[in-house]
Amino acid sequence: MARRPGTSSARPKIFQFLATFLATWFLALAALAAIPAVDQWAVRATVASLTAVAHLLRLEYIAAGSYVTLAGATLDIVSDCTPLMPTLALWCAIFAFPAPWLWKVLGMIGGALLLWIYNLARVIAIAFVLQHRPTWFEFVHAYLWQTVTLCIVLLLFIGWIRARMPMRAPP
Amino acid sequence: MIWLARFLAWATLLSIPCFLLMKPYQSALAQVAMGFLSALRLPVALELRLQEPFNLGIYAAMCLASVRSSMRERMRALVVGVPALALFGLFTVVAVIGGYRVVTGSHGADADNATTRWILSAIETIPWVSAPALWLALLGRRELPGPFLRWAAG
Repeated sequence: MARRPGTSSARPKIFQFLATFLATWFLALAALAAIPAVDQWAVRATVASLTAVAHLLRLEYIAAGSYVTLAGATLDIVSDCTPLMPTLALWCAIFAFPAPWLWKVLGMIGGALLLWIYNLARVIAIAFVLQHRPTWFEFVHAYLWQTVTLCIVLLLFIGWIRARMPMRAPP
Repeated sequence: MIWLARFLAWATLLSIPCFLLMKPYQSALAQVAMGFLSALRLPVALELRLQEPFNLGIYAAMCLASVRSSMRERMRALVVGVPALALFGLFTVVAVIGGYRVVTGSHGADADNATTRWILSAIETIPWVSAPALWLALLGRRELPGPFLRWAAG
């Protein structure tokens, strides 16, 4: 099998990337745990965004605190229903990868926006599953969407790396 | 892109056995972890609600979806990685719960405490982070996109 150029010497930097990513990840989790207001804000903002989207799509919708009734299914919006963790993972990956700071900030903002939109679609889809296929709910909620979320985060990160190609890093 | 499509297909397929094994696997994991914690004189009653063994399914899907590594490399990553990841999951539960008990004493701490929140979020997310991290370590040098490899190769 043909060896891709440079792959044999790539390992140390891959480990450097991993170590930076993991260290940033644990620090970010610690910061989130120390400032619960961020979690609370994410829940409120998710509920507010769902309200706006439901209004736009003319879906049957009632919100009471963190509970939302969407298309006939009632969901309790908790921290895990927000895009906070996937966004944090993407930000840590972008932070750990060497790039000009402006490009990093743009990637973080763009990625957060896309993950926010994706998460709204996820919650609406879960509400439909709960309403129409309640026996599938646990599987779809606990696993399938988590896998898709991981896929989306990877896709955004790879997309960000590839999109950086035309740009020159500062000397 | 091909890798992501293959990954999604494999992950969806593997999700079925993972889903069926979830409860017995987590129950066994809790039993073994409680055994270790008792041996360390840190007895605790555990009921785990983690992503185990989905992280194993995710990791296996990442290996099987890999396109640039040889079959031998992929199989080696599977044979080495899946048990390593399972052991790491056990180690994480024992280390985090044990450490938490040592720090907070026998009664634990308030559930709304920042340390508790950090431990809970760490223990919930470690399985999701560890699977791609191990894949990156074992197969990443072949599978990563060109720009990443060009940087990594310096």
